[in-house]
Amino acid sequence: MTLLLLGIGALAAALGTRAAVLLFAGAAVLGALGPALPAAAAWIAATAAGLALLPASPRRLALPALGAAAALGVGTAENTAVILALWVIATATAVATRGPGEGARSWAMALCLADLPVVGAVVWTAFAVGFEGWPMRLDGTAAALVLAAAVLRAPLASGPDDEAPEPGLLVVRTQTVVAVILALSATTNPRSLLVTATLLGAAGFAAGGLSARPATRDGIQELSLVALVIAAARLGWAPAGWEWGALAAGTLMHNLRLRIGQSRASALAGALLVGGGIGLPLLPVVLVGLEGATRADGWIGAGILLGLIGGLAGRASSVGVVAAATGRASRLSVVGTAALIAGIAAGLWAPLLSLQGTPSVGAVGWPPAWATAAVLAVAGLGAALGGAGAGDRPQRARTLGEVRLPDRWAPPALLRATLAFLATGAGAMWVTGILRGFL
Amino acid sequence: MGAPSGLVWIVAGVFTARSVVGARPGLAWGIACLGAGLRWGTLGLADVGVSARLFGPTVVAGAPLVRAGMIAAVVAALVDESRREAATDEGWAGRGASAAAIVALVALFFAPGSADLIPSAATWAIGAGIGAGVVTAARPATRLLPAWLPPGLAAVGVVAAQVAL
Repeated sequence: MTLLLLGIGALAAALGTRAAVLLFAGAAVLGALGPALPAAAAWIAATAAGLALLPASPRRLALPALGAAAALGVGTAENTAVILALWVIATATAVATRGPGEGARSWAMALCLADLPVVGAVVWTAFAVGFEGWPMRLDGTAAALVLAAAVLRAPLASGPDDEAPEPGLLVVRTQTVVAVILALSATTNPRSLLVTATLLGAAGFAAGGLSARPATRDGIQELSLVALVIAAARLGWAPAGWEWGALAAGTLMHNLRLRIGQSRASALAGALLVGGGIGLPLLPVVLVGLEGATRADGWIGAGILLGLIGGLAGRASSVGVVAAATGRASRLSVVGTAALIAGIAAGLWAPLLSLQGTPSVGAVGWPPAWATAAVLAVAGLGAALGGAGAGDRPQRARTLGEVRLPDRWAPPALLRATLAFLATGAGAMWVTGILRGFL
Repeated sequence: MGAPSGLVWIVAGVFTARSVVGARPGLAWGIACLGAGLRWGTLGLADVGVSARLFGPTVVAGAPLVRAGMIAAVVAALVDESRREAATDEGWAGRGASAAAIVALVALFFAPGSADLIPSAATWAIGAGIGAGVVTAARPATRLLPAWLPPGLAAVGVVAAQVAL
């Protein structure tokens, strides 16, 4: 039903009507209640609804929404024969909506190449495990290949450029989340794969924080945290279900980022979004990851900690760069500054509350009235003094450029040939499934 | 409220304050703070305090390699703080964040641990005053060091301590 609503929503978007918002929202609700990949279905559909509310025409969402539905189908289908077809359909919709330019073409080429591990995983599973092995009987080899596909895709989940976020945010992001969930949820996963996934998640969070492009930074960090919390939960280091939190935070961040500059609240939203601390929607998920680090063995816990703190520092370092590059994180209003300072002061005060209680057990009480008054006084004083607005002192932070294929490696003919190869492989798997009596 | 994981909120608060004034967040300081929590297996300030009461302050408790790792981490954090631009250049918000950063280092690495806020605050204030003096005095020398050294040293210290636990 979720996939059907997404499909109808895509049709409504193709017709150019904002009714697509309601259909995508309905798909999000049904997805959350559904049995298969509820977190992914709910928040991808919610992302589509948010994108449909932007001023641009909803027509641009039609194909990516269909691609997202196909990618979600990969997580719900139980017959290996159809997996590759659904996956390649999703990739094809992203490639088709990439927009003009050589940069977009090289992005599409990278996307097609990132499908190769999935091809390997599907073929391996079909012939080594069986056509009915998908997804819960993925063995270690197939799970590692699917995880590799997710790692390769994560940097592409921001889309080819900021003018065309839909193929990235709806299709590639969905594929990556589905790949991560499938790779880490198989019952036969070896522990080493899960440990590797936690470290990859932490490393990805750190690398994402250095990305020069905000959309890429947000996408990589969100998807890295999804991998980290799922693997940590499987290892017993963190509570289960925090992929919901990571995807919810990611959806909020993507929507905020796309709306910066469009409302009076955008300066405050921008300051919270680009910062690496209080107000960052991903922070509660980072906290879960850090709790996991305290339960991990030796250097693994230290590795997780270093990756997560590095990612936060990378974000915090980039605020001046973003302000200088885009001019979007403009000065905060007095109220915005006060709200931001109140958040910071409360964040610094909160740890002291635990000193009065019994450590590790029991509830931590609310702050006394005088402490609340002190936080508000600091906020008011800070706002009155000024000088704490985002981008007051743009700085130069070290960032990584976009990791992308050279344009000369992605001529139009080669892109078409690669896509045709993937489509042929998907068709061959389908035919094989029919010949073997599985379809 | 997240207070049981207070170390994360301290780090996040300082990072946020510094990011909005365009100052470096202080990676080595962040690694050291969370590394101290990791060394005791907690993210709670109160838990670190209890551990310090039972086993001694973080820099003197545990096996030699653990102590060496924690000392390396806190030295790296102090060097990183010392390498910052003069606090007056970071505005009142930056100054506040730097003060909170030094207090946090004292509370996590040097304080003997106390269940009451007032004695703890007094210890932290005295320690922070000494720490601020050390950081300021060392500035001419520490600014000659490469930028990667403090976070690198802090990371090595935390990993070494974890491996030796």
